[in-house]
Amino acid sequence: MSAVRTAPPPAFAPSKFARSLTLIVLVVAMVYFMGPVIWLIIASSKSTADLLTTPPFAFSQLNWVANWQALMSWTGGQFPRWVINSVIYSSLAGVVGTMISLACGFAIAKYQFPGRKALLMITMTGLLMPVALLTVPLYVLFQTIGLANTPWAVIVPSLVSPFGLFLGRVYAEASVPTELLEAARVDGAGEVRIFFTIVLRLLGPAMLTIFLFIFVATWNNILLPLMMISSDNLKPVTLGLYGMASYYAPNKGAMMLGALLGVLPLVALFLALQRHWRAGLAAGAVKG
Amino acid sequence: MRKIALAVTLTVTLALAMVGCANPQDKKTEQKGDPVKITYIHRLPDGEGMTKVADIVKRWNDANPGIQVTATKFDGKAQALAVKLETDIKANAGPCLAQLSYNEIPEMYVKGLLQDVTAEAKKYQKNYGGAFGQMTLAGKTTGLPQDSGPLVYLYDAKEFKALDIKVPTTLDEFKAAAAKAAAKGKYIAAFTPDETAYWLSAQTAAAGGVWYKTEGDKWKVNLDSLEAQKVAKFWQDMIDAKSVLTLDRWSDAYTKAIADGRLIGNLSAAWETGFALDGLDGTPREGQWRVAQIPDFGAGAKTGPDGGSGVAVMKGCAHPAEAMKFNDWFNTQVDDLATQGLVPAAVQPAKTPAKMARQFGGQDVRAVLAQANKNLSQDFIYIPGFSAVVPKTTETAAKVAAGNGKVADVFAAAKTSSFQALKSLGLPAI
Repeated sequence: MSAVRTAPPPAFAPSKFARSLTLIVLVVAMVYFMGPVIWLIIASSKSTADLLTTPPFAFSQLNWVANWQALMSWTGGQFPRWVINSVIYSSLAGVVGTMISLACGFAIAKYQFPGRKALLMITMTGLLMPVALLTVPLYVLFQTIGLANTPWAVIVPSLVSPFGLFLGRVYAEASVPTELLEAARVDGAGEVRIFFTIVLRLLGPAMLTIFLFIFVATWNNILLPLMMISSDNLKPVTLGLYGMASYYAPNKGAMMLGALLGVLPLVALFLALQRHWRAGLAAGAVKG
Repeated sequence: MRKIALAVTLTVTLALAMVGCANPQDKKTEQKGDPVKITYIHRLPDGEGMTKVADIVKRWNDANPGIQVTATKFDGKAQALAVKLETDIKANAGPCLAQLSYNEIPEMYVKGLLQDVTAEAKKYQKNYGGAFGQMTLAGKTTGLPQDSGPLVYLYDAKEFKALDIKVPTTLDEFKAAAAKAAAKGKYIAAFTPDETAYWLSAQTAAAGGVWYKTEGDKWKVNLDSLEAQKVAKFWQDMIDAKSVLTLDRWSDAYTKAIADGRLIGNLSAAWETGFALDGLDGTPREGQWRVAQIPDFGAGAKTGPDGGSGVAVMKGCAHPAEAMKFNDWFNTQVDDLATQGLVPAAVQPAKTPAKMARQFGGQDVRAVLAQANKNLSQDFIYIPGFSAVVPKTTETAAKVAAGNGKVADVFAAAKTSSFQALKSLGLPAI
């Protein structure tokens, strides 16, 4: 994007109507997306009684300290640990899962081998399977091999992402020229070296997209840890908060504070990676 | 070919590495002299200001080096726990003890997931009230009751005084009081569709009839009884007269109706005393409410159970006798259990916790609840598959609340779905 902005000539400028329509749509979108976040911030400051009786979008008594104490008490002091657990599980699943998705996607896009189409088809049917359906069979499996109630029970099933593989294949097909691979082979590079030194660089933007996708999916998965994890110190934050919510009278203010603090790492991650991400999406679009 | 070989090697290495990390304790064989290990999975809230389960269990472990208990909190709802338990027990990795709602006990027992510990339970029976019956199915006891939910009547004493009404002791008095309050825009009860399956079955029991019982080796479904019709008519009359609110029990609307003083009473499960008034804390209405016995439904001083749970011994538990010993000790720690918001099923009375005393204006709530426990119907049980009856009942009751149907339809829906539930489990019903 050029640093100097010039107004487009009048003939190309959008009409007043189009401009105001865009503005309205953007404002509506902003309210739609930011509303819940603002509500969450306000709700996290209220006591349970205030949550029910005061207007939802106005602060009343600031109750953050009491809510924090209640949160720590309800979670037996484990809340910070749960957030760290979530970060560890999601990061590990994200990094390794991205590698697997890209390697498989690249292989399916660029290598000719028998059963390639069938393999892709089988993986794609995986996309149609709701994760919830697979949780109980997965639990039986992990129980049998003795991995239930370990961090692996949450991480390993999150490593494989049919959608990640699909994205990896599409990106590899679009942005890795076969000629480049042939040139590298002529120069004597092995397949592993080609993948790690050339292909991964070309797939940089895809990498980020898939990473974020797997990271968020792992972070938000609740059924899997609910089945797999029973030790308090291994729980991810989502499961811990769910534990507070499944009783008749949870401390709602404290839960809201937990929910707010629980998404902060996600928000930070998105803000940090946002620039790269946009660059990635644009790269695909402009180059063609 | 090289690539495939590499992939296979990688996968195998990864798998082996993971197995290496697995908990080595699982495989350890037990030796003589080692303490007996009991695992116990529960769904207690462990909230702020409550005596934590881990602390109660620690007291036991310190005093009983020979029987070491590990307590685990399950974070999901009862249904998710049922799935997990079934999976674990089939994989021979189940816990020894698990907290189960009374309505789940028959189904789990029929599925063969619970142990028959009748002989052990007999030793401890004297410590428990009527809820002991809910852990017993056709003479087979599977554990001990933990908390019980006899229906009681919660009401706002100050509002009652202002309206010049007394706590009703019969159904006719109740209807008259409801009409009088409704004329002033106040409601002394609410018809709560999402709770009807438990709530109406408990009221029928209070009237002296039970929905289900075993007859020989068959299940008897009895939803056309005179008692059931009486309960249906009672609510139908009040709904027709618009003298009760209709709203879901587990909705914010209910809490709000209490907070803004429109709802000034309701027939409630005893355990609701633990939290139903939390929304009034710090408001001018705090401390105005009281608890009383429910009106006479026609069977004298009798009430029915709405919810509650027990701790059952699971199939595969290697030390049922030791597990039951802990089970009895734990469930008689009534003061600790009371802090968790429970109404302990043990007969020994619990102290009224400070929070409860404050919310009920210093009333000795626990004494009233203990009396309700004594009045609890002894022959009330649920059928296996009751979990399937609940949604049908709720659905029909929601229609009634919306004005499309009669309360009698709720009983009819419960009857049909009860037969279906029993049939789908392959159990004979009449």
